[in-house]
Amino acid sequence: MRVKNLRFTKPPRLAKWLLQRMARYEEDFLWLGDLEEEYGEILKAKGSRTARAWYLRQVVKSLPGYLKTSVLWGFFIMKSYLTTALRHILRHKGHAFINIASLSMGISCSILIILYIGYEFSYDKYHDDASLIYRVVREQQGEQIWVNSSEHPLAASLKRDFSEITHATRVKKNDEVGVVEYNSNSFYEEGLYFADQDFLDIFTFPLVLGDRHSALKEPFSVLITQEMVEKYSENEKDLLGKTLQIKEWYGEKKFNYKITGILKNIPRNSHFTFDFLVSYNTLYSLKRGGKESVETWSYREPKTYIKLESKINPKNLEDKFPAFLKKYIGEEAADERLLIQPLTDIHLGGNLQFELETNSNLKYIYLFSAIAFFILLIACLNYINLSVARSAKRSLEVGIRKVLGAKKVHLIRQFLSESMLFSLVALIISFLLVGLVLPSFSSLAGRNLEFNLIKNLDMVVVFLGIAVLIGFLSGSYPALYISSFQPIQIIKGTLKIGSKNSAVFRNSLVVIQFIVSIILIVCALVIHSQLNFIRNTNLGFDKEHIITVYTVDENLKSNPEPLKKELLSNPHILAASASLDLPTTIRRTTTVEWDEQGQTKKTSVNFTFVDFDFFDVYDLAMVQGRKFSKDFSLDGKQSVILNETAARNLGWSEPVGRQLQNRKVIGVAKDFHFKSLHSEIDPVVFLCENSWGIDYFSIKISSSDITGALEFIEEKWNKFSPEYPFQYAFLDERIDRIYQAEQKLGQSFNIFTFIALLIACLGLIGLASFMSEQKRKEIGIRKILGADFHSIMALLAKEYMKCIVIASVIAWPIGYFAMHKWLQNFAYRTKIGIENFFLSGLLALVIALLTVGYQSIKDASANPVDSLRYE
Amino acid sequence: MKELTRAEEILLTAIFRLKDNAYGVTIRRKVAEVTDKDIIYGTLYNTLDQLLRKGYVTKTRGKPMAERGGRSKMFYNLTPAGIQALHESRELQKRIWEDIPELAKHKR
Repeated sequence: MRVKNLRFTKPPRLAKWLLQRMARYEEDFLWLGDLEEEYGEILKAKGSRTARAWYLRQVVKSLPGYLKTSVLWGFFIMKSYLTTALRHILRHKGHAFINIASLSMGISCSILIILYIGYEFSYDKYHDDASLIYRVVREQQGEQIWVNSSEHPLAASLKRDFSEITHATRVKKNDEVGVVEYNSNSFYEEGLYFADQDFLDIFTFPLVLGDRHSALKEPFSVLITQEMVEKYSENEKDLLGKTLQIKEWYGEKKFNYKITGILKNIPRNSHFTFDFLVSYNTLYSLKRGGKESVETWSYREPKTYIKLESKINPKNLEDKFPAFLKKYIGEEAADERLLIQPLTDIHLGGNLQFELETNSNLKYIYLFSAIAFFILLIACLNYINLSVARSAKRSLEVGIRKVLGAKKVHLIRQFLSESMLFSLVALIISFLLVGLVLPSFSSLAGRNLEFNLIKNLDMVVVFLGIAVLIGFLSGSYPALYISSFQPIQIIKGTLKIGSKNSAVFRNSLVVIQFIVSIILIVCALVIHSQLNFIRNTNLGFDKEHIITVYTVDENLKSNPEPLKKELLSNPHILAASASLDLPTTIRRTTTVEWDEQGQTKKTSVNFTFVDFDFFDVYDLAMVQGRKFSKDFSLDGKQSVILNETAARNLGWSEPVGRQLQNRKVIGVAKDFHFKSLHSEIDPVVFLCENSWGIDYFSIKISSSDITGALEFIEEKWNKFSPEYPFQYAFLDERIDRIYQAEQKLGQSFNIFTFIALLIACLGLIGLASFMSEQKRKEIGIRKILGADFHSIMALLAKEYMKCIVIASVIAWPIGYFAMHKWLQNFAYRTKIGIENFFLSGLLALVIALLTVGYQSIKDASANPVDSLRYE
Repeated sequence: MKELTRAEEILLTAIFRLKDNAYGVTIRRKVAEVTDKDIIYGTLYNTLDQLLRKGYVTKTRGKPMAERGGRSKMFYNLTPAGIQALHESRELQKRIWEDIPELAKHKR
């Protein structure tokens, strides 16, 4: 006999294991014995290899039949589980309603939030090779601020000097609105962009018509979107080669532009969107200084985007940049760094200085994920709590099933499939709910969210997964708990369910739910008070009843006085001013130099040009000196007014009368918030000149007849500027728009807080009605022994009050830290008042008492005879 | 009474032949002998379960044995109903083939 390796005398372990899994009843194991016996014989006769192969074949070939029967039986068993679950649902409609309602609200919220998050991550990803596209940003040494604009020649130089960079383009948004005209249709347009030919190679926005390899080569070429084609011509579809007229900020007059391409509409999930794309070299003709004033390293204006040849570590490229900067800019560039930022990181990377459009932030993604998670948690806890609380009701069922031979595993499966049923029904309802509220949620989020069961099948699978997970999570504890009941105890009636331990468990779940709710309430309240703070902070200038009108009309820009004069003839118009900026748009900066004890000093300031009436229209207060006045002939040429911060930055305590770059300081204006309250007030220098042309009219009207005043202004406007449409905005509306992101955050918080509270309260109703059922006899006896209505109410409410007090104590510090962190975004912020915390606790308490109140009153006023009659 | 399937018939005859020694291994061998096919234990036990449910066989448990990994044999025996079913099956077979001469002669 050959010597055989001992290892092979045993049947293959995997196959054996598989077989043991397949055996359902104890007797099934017997045929394992048959297998083993025959295996032994074959082993002796033919050796281990044949024997093992035989064994394996037996097992594998038995599999299909086993699977078929087990699936079939699984189906029958599942059907029986589901029938039981359905019967249970139908018999306890209230309980089922609470569970399904809270689960479907929870799931709906998370579906909405997941759709939102998915959309946020889809930004800019649709370009071919999006991962190779980068934006060039600048980091100023010492300041942790990234700047998003670069010098004009940067793009071309990068492409020339680095072989890794295959394409580079400048992108520049037209500084202000331009006027576009086609066939007597003319509109103000904000989405005017300039870009180099490489733009179309980097960003693969599809072209409907035109040649993408040459569309942006020639000056005065323009690409327009399909949307604009529809806007400007009703019947002509083919505008290729046609001529548009555009007048912009730079232009002395209108220019003709040839349409060289029609773009598909720009997807909304793009970090910048435009309607018109003009070839970059057009700027050579538009800017007064010609090509030399554009192609210079002396100032920064456009954004620069590059495309790399292949995936490389950005660090390797960035390391070569210092030498590059030195070559073109010189030693001055030593204190700044050139960096590249992946295109796909831009949208969630927060806002750098000079963004084309407002970006979002990864922080918000985390925030909303957390909210979705917590709302789901509350809903799951509801299910767990209600199921465990009601388990007494089902103990008899469990007992009988166990007596009839059901094992723990079977019961766990039964209760799990019940919770799965709940969560799947909730999922279906959620799909309906989401369909209903998605449009309003989209507009709240400011995103173009879509959800289609068929188109977004991948999403549906994700949601299905979530629903199953929720069914599992919320079902597993009750399943384990209920299935561990001892049948003897159940049937003898000695099983104690309302024991001390389970009460602690129940209450701690309620506490967790209220911790989440109270944190959300605190956040909603603080956000609300900060928004109020913003609204009520005295910005330092008058913002009520001021109409602002933007103009590009060259006549009005250089000579606004006649229109102003005519406007003032109406008694409802109190004052009018023409200026380069509104108090909210002062952004231009310059560096001023002055002598201080023989030394030349420098500092950076904002500056703007105003007229004599500006300070009156906006009711700006002076701290020192006087306002600009027509009575002083030099004011129009050689006088400046500083704001307090400017005076402080210059280090002048008595600035009036001093010279600043050949101009005399005549006054100091009180600081006002010309930027949003996110940032500190910066220095401003006011000049009373009109050397650049004005951009805005500011017209203060009386509140008595706003419509009349508006009509009057429009009439006069059309008289003075017949070529251009009249478009106005109230200043306070403009200011509100600055805080849109915060307002939307506030609104979403209110909504989600409301939903969280609603779900928690639903759970509380269920719990309260259950508890009162349990305590009916106790209450009856107490009443007989002389307890009055109030003491019974107190008895019932005490437990929930305790939960909420504990929840508040835990939730307050968490809410405080969260909001403290959020408020750091604002340079000017409200204090987190203690009243917010008390209010949140009180609100939770009142809502909880209202929810359980009805039940308590019913119990407390019930006739004890009813509850004790059958004892 | 419902007719037996071919598989049931084969198993019943095998058990009948094996008398008191009809358990998994021997039944499978017998079947292989008669049909020349190596059947799988999964199939074998499925059919045996079927016969059990129909009441044609009974099973009795033997003693645990070491060479079977400590498991006992499960012996199968025909019930009167099983014998009756076999008998009927044979009668049916006879009737089906009555009057039919050797088929080989008619081969073209």
